[in-house]
Amino acid sequence: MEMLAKGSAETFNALLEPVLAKSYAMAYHMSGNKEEAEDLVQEAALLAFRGFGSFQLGTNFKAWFFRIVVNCAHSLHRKRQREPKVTALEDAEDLYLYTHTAKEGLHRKFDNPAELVLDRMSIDQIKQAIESLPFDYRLVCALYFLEEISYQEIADIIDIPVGTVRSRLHRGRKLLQKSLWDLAVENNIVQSLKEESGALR
Amino acid sequence: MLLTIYSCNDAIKRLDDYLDRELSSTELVRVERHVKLCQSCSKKFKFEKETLDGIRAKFNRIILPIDIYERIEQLLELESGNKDNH
Repeated sequence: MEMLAKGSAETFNALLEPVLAKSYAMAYHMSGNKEEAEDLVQEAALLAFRGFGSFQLGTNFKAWFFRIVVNCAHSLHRKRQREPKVTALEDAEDLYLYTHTAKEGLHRKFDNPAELVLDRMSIDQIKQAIESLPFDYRLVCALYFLEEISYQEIADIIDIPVGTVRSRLHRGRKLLQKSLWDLAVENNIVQSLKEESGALR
Repeated sequence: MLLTIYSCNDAIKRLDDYLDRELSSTELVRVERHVKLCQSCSKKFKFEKETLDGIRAKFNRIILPIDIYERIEQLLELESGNKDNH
């Protein structure tokens, strides 16, 4: 293995530091827990460091590093082969949250019912919702929600066709909305909003 | 024709791509024209945008463990040391 010059190691650290927080958040959403997210990011950093010689300075380090994080997440997923219980994909209709918040009468009193529901959900509940997605959908959604990047950029990072990104993202969003709504109902968030909405009448 | 007006179904079908700025310029003009004229779709588009923003805000609220950068640095130093010894 070719040895990294001291200057290269410093360059590597300088490039890594600003992308670490996003990478960790991505790993957290992909793996579903803090410990695995830490392991993933550390493993990715080590692999990136070893392969830094192949990185072309001046190109997009973040995309390059994200690709390594995604590959590590894939390996981890293959190792544990623990696929969460998956909601039938055809189960989630279009505009799921819109339709259900409207059915519960939340549009009558609140200007922004989506924001209200999401505001009252904890980070753990959001994590639970994304964990309910099949792994391939989780990868695409984690990238999509963390970074405002194009379908093409997501396709390049995960190494799948752009059409696959589009379909996974569209279906993933519907599933995510359904899962979020189910959790909001289970945790009485919807009920308390309905009561507040009644009190406002 | 650029002047074609989309139906509600045509517009809703393109909602995700619209929010992600993935529509062609012709589709974009047609969707925007429809949304401007249709109050019901305008409400749905606004709702979806707020939903995406809300999820995105929650997604980004993950705090990086304070010592992780140090642990990575140590790992990389160890790796450099190992390389030096080879």
